[in-house]
Amino acid sequence: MPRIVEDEKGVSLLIEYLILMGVMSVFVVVMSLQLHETLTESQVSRVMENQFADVASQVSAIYTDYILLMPSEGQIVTRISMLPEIGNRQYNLKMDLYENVGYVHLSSGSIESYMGLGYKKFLRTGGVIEIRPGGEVLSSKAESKDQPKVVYKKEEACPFVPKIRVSFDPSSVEFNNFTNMTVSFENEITEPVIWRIDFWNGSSLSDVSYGGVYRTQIQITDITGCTQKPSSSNDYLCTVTAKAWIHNRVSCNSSVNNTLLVSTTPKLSNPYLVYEKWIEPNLVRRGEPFEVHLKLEGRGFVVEGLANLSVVHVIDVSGSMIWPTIFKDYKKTVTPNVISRTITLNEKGNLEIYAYTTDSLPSWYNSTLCKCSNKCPVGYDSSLIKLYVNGTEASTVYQDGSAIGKRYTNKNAPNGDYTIEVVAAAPEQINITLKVVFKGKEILNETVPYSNYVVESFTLPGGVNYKFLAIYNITNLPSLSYTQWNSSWNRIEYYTVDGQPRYWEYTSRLCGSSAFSQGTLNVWLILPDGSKDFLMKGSGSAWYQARNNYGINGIYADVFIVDPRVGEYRFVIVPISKNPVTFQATALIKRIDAAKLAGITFNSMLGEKDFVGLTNFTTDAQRIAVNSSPLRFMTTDKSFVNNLINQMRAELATDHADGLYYGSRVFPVWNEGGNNCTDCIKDTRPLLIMLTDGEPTICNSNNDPNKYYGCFADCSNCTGGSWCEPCKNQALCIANYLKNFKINDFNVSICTIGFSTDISGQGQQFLRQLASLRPDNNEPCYFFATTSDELVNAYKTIFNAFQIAAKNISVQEAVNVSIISPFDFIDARVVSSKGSPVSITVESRNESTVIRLNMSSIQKDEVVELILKLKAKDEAPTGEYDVNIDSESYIEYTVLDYRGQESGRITLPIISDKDKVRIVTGDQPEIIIR
Amino acid sequence: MEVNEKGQMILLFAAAVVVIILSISYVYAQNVIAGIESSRTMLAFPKEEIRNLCELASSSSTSTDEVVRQVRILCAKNGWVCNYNYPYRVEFKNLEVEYDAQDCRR
Repeated sequence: MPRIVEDEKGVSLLIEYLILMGVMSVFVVVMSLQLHETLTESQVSRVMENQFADVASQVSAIYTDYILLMPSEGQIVTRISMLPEIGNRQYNLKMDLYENVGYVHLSSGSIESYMGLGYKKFLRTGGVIEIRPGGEVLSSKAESKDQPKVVYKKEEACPFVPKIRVSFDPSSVEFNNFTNMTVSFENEITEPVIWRIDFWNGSSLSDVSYGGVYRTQIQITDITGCTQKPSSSNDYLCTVTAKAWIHNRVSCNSSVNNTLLVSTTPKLSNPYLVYEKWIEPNLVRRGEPFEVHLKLEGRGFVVEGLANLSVVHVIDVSGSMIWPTIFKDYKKTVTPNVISRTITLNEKGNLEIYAYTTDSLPSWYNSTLCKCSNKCPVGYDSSLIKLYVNGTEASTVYQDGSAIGKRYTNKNAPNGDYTIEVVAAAPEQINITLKVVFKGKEILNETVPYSNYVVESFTLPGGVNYKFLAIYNITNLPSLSYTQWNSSWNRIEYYTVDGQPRYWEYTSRLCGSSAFSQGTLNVWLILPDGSKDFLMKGSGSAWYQARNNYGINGIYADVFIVDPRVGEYRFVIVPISKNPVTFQATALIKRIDAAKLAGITFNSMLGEKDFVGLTNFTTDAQRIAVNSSPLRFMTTDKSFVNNLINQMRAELATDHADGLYYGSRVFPVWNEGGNNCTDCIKDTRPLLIMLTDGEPTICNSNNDPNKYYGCFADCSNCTGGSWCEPCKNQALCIANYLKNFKINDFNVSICTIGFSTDISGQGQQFLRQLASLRPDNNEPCYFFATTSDELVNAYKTIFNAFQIAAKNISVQEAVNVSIISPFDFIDARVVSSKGSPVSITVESRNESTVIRLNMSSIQKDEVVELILKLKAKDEAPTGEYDVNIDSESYIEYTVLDYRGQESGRITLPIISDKDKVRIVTGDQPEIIIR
Repeated sequence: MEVNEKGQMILLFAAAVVVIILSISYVYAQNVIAGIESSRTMLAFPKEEIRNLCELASSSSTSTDEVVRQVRILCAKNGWVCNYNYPYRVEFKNLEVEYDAQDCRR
C-alpha cells in the first residue's frame, strides 16, 4: 500500500493537538460558564444567608435596645449599616407582625431569612403596652443620602386639654365704653395652664391659671384690626383669640375666638349673628372621642338700641280674680328606706328579735305640733317603728328605759332563713338597733344610722303681699276623728266695691273627743322662719276651710296660712310602713296675687330705659297715675309701678274693650291735657300686655265717632253675668285700630294672656284675635296659663320675643364622618342659653354626615351651642385631618335692622381654621424601618 | 530545536482554576465580614449613656445649669451631642443614634 502521508508522527501529532484543543476549548468554555454559575451560586447563597443573619441581628439588637429604653414620650432613630448589594444582588429588609409576634424578614429572589423579635406586648409600669413593628426598605437605599434607619416613636396624648372660654359682658359695646372680660376653663385643670388672649389690635394678655376664673375690665378705645360691617359703617366686629396650653406641653392646647360688637352709634346699630367653631381636644389617640363645637350668638344693643320698650300692663281686676289659682303642684311616689337583714337558723329554738331606738326627736314629735294637743302620740312612740319578719309585721311593743320599738318572739322557731326588715318614721337621722337573740345567745347586735325622709320645696317669691297660701289634696296623712268645724269664721280680707262687700274668711276644726289614727305618711311643712307645721286631717278630710263671697270657689285645705311670708317652704315627707306611698299636694294663691307676681317679674326684666304704665279694668277701666305731667301714666321707675300693682284688688264685671282703650290712652301721644309728650318715650317700641281671667261680659255703648277710636257698640243687652258679643266686637275694633297705628314709627303690639280654666274656646279665640303677631316667630302673641308658673313664663316669653337679633335661622353643618373617614359619629346635641327650642336632625350620607339646626329666632345676648361628639376610629391612620367640610356648611338667617324690621336673608359660610384634629398613636408605640 | 510542549494542559487548567478562585474569593471576602455589623451595633449602642442621662434628668438637683453644662462637655469629648432638662427631658445624638424624648421614663 502506498502511504498518503510521509511523516506519520508529525501528522498524527497535529491532528491530535487540534482535536484535543478543540475539545478542551469547548470544555473550558462550557465549564467556565457552568462552574462560575455553580460555584458562585452556592457561595453567594451561603454569604447572603450570613449577611442576612448579620443585618437581622443588627435590627434585633436595636429593637431590643429600644424596648429597654422605651421613653414614654419621644423618638429614637438609629442608622442601620447594611451593604447595598451582596454578590451583586439587592435585597429587601422588612419588619412586620405575624400572629402577634414581631419578626425581621430579609429576602432576595429565592433566598429568605426570618428572625423573630418576640411577642408584641410588653409589661411596663403603667400596664401592658403593644408595639407595632413595621416598615421596609430596599438595600440600595444604603447608597443614597437618606440611610435606612429604625425609628421608635411614641407620642403621648394629653392628660387633658384645657377648654378655655372667653366671654364679654356686655358683648355689644359703644366705642370708648367698658366691658368685662372673663377667662375661664370649662373642664377641671389638674396641671398649671398658660393662657394668652390676643386682641384684634395686636396687643395681648397672658397669665398662668390653676383653675380659677380671671376677670378684668377693658375699655374699647382702639378698633384697628376690627372688621367693619359693610351694611352699616358705624359697626365693627372685633375678634379676640384665646389660647391655652398645659405648662411644658405645648401640643396639649386649645384655642377659641370670641367676637365683640363695637359701635360708634349704638342707636342705629343693627343686630347681628356671630359664630365660632372649634374642636376640643384637637389631639386624640385612636379610639378616643372629641367634640366639635359650633356656637352662635346674637349681638345687638339691648339698652342703647331701639329695642327699648314702652309697656302698658292692662290687668283684669274683675270679681273672679279674687278666686284661687294653682301655684305649685306635686305628685310623687315615696319609697321608704328599709333596713334588711337575713339570718339563718340551723336548729329549732327560742328566737327573739328586737328593733328599737333611743332617740326621741322632740323637735318633730311633741304636743305643740299636734293639732289637738293631748291626742297625738307624745314624743317618739313605738308606733313609729315597724318590724317585719318574713314579710309579716310584728306588733308587740318593746320598751326598756329610753329604748322603744318593736319585738318578735317565737319560742319554737323552726330552722331556716329569716328575713328581718325594719322601717322607722325618721324625719332626721336616728340610730336604730337591731338585736337578735337565739336560745339566749346574741347572734346579731347592730346599730345603724338611719333616716327615712324626702324633701320637696317651693319658694314664694318676694315683691307681692300675698293674702293667703293654701295647700290641699294631700293624701295618706294621720287623722284626728270626731273633729267638727268651728262655726266662727276668721275674716282675712274685706273691702267694698260699689257698695258691695268682698271678703275672704276661713275656719278650722275643733278638737273634741278626737282619737288619733296613724296614716301612711307623716308630713311636716317647714315655713321660711323655720317653724314646723305637722299636717293632719280632721275626720278624714281637710282641717281648714276658706271661702269668699263672690261665687262658689271655696277651698278645703290641709294648710292655710294668712299673709304668708316670702321665702322657701319645705315639705319633709316621711313614709311609715315599708310600702311605697304617693305624696301629692297642690298649693293655691289668689288669682290676683299670681297676676301681681307675674307683672312684677316682667318689670324686673326691663332695662333702665324701658317705660312702664298700668291700667286696671273691670266694668270700667282706670289708668293709674305713676308720674307727673306731661307724662302722667308712664315711668321708668319700676319699683313705683310694682307697689301700685301690689295694691290691686278684685272687683266687678269684665269689659275688655274699655281695658284696651284706656290701656292705649296711657301712651302720651293723643294730645290729652296733662299727658301729652311723644318725645318723652321717643325711640321706644309700644307694647300692651293684657292679662285677663275671663270672657267679655259688659261694655260701654258708644255711637260717637270721636270716642273709642270710632268703634260703635250697643251694650244694652249685656248684664255682666255672661258673654257679651258687642263687647267682643268693640274690643276687636279697637285692637285693629291700634295694630295699624304707629307710635315712634312702630305699630302698637298687643299681647294677650288668658289666665284661668274659666275661659271657653270662644273666649280663647277672642283673645287670640286681639293679639298682634310676635316678632320672633310670627305667631299671635297669645298665651294661656292655668298656674302661677305658666303665667310667669308667658311674661318671660313676651319679653324675649322683643329681644331678637335674627330670625328663621337654619344651620347646616357637614362633617367628615362616614364609612371611609377616620371618624365615627357618637352624638349631637344643641343647647340654648335662654332655653329656646332648637330642632336638630342628623343625616348620614355616603361621604359625610350632615347636621341641620332650625330655630325661629335668636335673642341679642342668647348663645346657642351645637356640640358634636365624634371619635377617632380604632384603625385610623395617624395624622392631621379636617373635620369640617367647608363647602357644605353654612348658616342662613333673616337679617333685622336696627328697628327690628326684616331686611333680607343672608347665608354665612362656616369657615374656621380650628377645625383640624390630629390622631396620634398614644399608648401604642411604633418601631418602623424606613 | 525541540519545544517542550509538555505541561500545556496543566497550565491551561491551572489558569482556569486561578480565574475561578479569584472570582470566588471576591464573594468569599464578603463572607468573612458577615456578622461584623450586628456585633458592632450591640457594642456601640449607647444604652447606658441614655439611661444615665435619664437618671440625671429625674432629679432637679442634678439638672441645674452648671451640671447640665458639664455633662454636655463630657458628651462632646466623646463625640456625642447631649442635653437634658428637668423633668425627664433627654436628648442624645451620636453617629448612628438620635434619641429625643419629652419623657424618658420607661
